[in-house]
Amino acid sequence: MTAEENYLQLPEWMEKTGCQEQVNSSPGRRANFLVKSIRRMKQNIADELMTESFAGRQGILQQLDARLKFVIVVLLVLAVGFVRSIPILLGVWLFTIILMRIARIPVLTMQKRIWGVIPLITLLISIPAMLNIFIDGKPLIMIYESTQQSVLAGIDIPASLYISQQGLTAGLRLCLRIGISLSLGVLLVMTTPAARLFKSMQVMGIPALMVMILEMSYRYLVLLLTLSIEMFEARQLRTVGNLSLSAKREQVGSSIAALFAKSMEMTDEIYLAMRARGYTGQAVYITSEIE
Amino acid sequence: MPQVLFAFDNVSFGYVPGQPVFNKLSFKIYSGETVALLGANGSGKSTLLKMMSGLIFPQQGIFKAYGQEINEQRMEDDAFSQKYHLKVGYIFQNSEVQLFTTRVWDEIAYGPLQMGFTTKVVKQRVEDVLEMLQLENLRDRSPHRLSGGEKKKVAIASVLVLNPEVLILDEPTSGLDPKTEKWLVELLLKLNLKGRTIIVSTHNLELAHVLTTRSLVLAESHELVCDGLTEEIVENHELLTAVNLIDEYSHIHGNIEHIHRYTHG
Ligand SMILES: Nc1ncnc2c1ncn2[C@@H]1O[C@H](COP(=O)(O)OP(=O)(O)OP(=O)(O)O)[C@@H](O)[C@H]1O
Ligand SMILES: [Mg+2]
Repeated sequence: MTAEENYLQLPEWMEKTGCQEQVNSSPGRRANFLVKSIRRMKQNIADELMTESFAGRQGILQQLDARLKFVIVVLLVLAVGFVRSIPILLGVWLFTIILMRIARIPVLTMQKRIWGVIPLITLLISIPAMLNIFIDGKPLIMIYESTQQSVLAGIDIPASLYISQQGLTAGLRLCLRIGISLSLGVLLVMTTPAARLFKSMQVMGIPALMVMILEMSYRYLVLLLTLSIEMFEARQLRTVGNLSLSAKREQVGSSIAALFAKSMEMTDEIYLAMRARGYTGQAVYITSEIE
Repeated sequence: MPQVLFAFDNVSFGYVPGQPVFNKLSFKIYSGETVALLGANGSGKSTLLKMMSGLIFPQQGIFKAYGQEINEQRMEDDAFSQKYHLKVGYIFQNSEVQLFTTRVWDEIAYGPLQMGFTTKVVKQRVEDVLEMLQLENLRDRSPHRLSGGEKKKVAIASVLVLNPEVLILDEPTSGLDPKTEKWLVELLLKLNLKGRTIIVSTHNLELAHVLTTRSLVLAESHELVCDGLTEEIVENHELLTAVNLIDEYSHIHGNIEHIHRYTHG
């Protein structure tokens, strides 16, 4: 047999189709976790693209100068950080919601997403701080009460432990501040095309390097999200089946590792691509391009 | 009469609500065919191939494979989707996304192991494929550190090892050197002779011509503008210009395209 023929010799099992060797096919019927993750990530990408489409829509807020919007939002966020009165905070929140409405952003979905995670987590982790040990005041929720003070392992145990009214107010205030700041940020991002937003940051005196980092993170976040979707799809094609929990964990783990390796690699390549076009560590920008 | 493999019936699809990629697409692919999907960048080749591979699903209309409607619910059944993916192999345009293990050998063994082949069979198959694609030297390397073409080869190997009946390849020759490209074409033709269906997307007319008998042409507006014999389509200058696959300076001599962009003033 010549080398030429040899090089296109099919292995025996490839001579015919079919897969007699397969031993156990999985009987599962549930949506597997890969399929679910893929769907969730796809939704995120669609959302991201939706954001751009909101920014392109005709609306009063959309037409406002990006720089002006940026300044107003920064000032409002700062103000929210200083205001202590809960009614005023609630007022600002209502104002933000009205603005969202005017900008034709789906208020309910957005608010659900904004309040669903971060402020809730904040509330949870701030619970210890609401205790009378830290913020004393009128008892609101009693956790325990005893008549005499006791000592445990040399530490004084207070006679009672409760969430004080003042403590709860402080916790709520923190949550409100975070939720409102997020709402304001979302409002800004959703009504302003990303490119214009970054340019206006720069005009406002934020160092070019920082803006560049922000801009690149944004761009590569979307890119990495797309990459992860395809990775999961590729894996799904060859996996499927009811994997054990540990196998699932292993898979997610190795996907994260692969994604990390890829993003590191990408960093190198991006840097080289930037070098190839004249980047020397100093970002050069034209600021006059903003309409 | 050959068996209908894939049937698209008024299929519509879009990634983003309100921005459809396909609108009411209808066509059929038969078992044992070699089909090229031609179109300019962004015309929707990858999207269409992903639908055939059961990764995305029509939003309207019906896509059937092997006479059965393929939709999200059906694919959620693990047993079904496993069987489907074993029959229909898909090689991604970006081989980067197909590689996720830390060794080339593991990468190729991943599919057969998941599909429940015995260890002995897995080992045998991986060795055979490594040899066939001349990847033996790379067996212990990390897939991430390979060259672009080597990654492509590993990606191809990781699908061939499952021995699918239908091979769907998205831009299979991009990044391959001419010798490997020629080798791949010959391999695919040989597999076709043994009864496999081969579907490739490409904007390389020569590849379409040597590999396939039938071509589907997608316009930039994502419409299916032509479905016919590849040898006729690659000669159809007007059509290819209209879908922006070639420009007025490209000439087709014989069956092979030559670009004379700079010599004809
Ligand atoms: N994940 C995605 N989200 C949103 N839109 C997408 C996504 N993937 C592709 N598109 C859009 O769908 C259309 C078809 O893309 P597709 O990748 O199928 O094109 P293609 O013919 O494979 O192009 P190429 O030759 O460049 O590979 C394009 O307009 C593209 O912008
Ligand atoms: Mg493509």
